[in-house]
Amino acid sequence: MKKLEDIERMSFEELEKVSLDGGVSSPEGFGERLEGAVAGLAAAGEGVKTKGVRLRTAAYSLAGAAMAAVLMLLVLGRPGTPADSFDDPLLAYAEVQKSFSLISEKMSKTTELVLEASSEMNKPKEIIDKITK
Amino acid sequence: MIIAASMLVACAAFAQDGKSIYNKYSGNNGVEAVYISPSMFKMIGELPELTIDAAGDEMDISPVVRSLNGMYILDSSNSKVNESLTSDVLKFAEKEKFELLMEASDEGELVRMYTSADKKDGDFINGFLLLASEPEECTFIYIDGSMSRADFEALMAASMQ
Repeated sequence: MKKLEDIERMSFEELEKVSLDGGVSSPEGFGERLEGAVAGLAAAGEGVKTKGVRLRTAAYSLAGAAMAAVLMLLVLGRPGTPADSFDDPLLAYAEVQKSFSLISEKMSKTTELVLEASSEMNKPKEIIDKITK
Repeated sequence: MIIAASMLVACAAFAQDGKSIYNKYSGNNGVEAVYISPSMFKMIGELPELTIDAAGDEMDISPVVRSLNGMYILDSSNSKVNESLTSDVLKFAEKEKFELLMEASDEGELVRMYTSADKKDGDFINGFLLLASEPEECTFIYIDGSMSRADFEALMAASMQ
């Protein structure tokens, strides 16, 4: 019987010649073992394929559920446009003016703080000027 | 990846903006809320003699008023709301990359004013935000709309008189 290394070293023509040689017989039960092995491999492959399909289906279902949840949140949770607080443009304008006045008041306060700070910042300079005179 | 993208979309949808801040706090106890819509601004813009005294000159502010998309005002005297409102407004200003116009912190009061610069035209602003926060009172004013810096400054100057 040839060893595996010998078979591997054989050329294609040599292998073909051996296969056509009717005098060479395969070991007893080899055919059944080969068929059994092929059937086993096929079954294992089918199992892997089924598992893959199931995983993909689960991922798609999960993604679909997530998208549906996002759409629901967007539709139901989106803040609506508030209702106008005034029906009369004059009253609305009065409120706008009031807001502008408040903004100006805060601006003035900030400016006052800046002026106060700058007068404080000038004090060291004044002291230095007095000393150096 | 699809799930992550969905979550990002959801987060973006619930991000803070002027309208959502207004909706969140209006109706709370001790919170006065005023909203002026773009339609109302258009009606205000049609009012006769909508002029202000800008450094001795009469300035017609109707084009400015008509261009505004909305004004959101919240004035809260609810101490529980004030902290949360302040935090939300600061997050909003940071997220929208508002420019800090001025800030003052005096005796527990924090005043911040921001403008949203128009990226295409530096002479225009797309919004103005004011936050005046102290433990007892918190005021939020957000003016949404495109206006020229010059017009806005003139409006403020006229209001200071």
